[in-house]
Amino acid sequence: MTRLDTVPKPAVIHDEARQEIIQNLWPACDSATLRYDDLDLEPYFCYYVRQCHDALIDGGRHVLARTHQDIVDVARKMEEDEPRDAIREVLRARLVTRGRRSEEDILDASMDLAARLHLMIHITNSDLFISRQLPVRWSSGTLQRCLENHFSIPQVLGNDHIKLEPGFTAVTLERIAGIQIKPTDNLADHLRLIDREDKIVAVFHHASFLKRQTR
Amino acid sequence: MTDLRKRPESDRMDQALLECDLLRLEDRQIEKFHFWHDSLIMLKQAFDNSQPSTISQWWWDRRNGVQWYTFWVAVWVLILTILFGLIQSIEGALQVYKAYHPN
Repeated sequence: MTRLDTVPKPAVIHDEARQEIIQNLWPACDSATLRYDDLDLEPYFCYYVRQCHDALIDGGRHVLARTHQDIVDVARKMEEDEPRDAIREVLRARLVTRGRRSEEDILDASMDLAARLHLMIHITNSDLFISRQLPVRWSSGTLQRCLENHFSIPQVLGNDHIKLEPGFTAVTLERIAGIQIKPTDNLADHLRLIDREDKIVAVFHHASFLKRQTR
Repeated sequence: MTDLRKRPESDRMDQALLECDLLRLEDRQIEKFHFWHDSLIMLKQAFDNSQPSTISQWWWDRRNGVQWYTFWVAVWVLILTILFGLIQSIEGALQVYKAYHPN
């Protein structure tokens, strides 16, 4: 596990560390089906590095996580359906300096970072960064419940006379309708028209990440 | 976007997308989509309401096959008419010139 003790610096995450991170964040049910050749996880790790870089600004004053292991540990707790408050207390015990004013913010930021890296959804409670991404707020309870609430919004629009033709693809959207595809790292933003003139649609492109989740 | 492979490294899209097959008819039924239902409908509406506005879009928009053929055949006929008209006018002018200045 020593490879997970490295700091997630923006430079490079080596292949062995990558494999360990993937195996620990999303343990596969059957290790015999672990095949990485058909997966392109480079975009995921670009996202991973970007998130860590953003979280570690200001000398890492705003977040508790320092190594990949820290992130994996929080992610594991989330998978075990621990409520946010319980995870918070576990993290609090790891703090080196207690009693700081920003202690709650630090713990929140750490949990949100781990959730973002685990799920590729923009989970955040902080307004530190101005982002056009749709945030999902997880403030209490289990992460599972929070996601269920977000992703089970009932359908509103009627679907009479709506047929999805074979020609309704990303390529034809760009070529014919002039609707640009903007790749996004936030699953909650998938298929959202993000500009005022309805000419840009965000598309979550991390197919490898999704494939890995189903193994 | 059009070529997945040609994007700059920083903006790279997941190459595994190239291995995703297109959805078959039974999977394309809108009722099958639970979460993306509304987003897909809005996108489809934006797609259906769009009119081609550049030459490139006119060329690629073959949703209405008959209209596409009619339009481009007409364009082709126009080009040929202008071309041959131009050639005839020049030849006519040359003939007149030759008629007035026989060597």
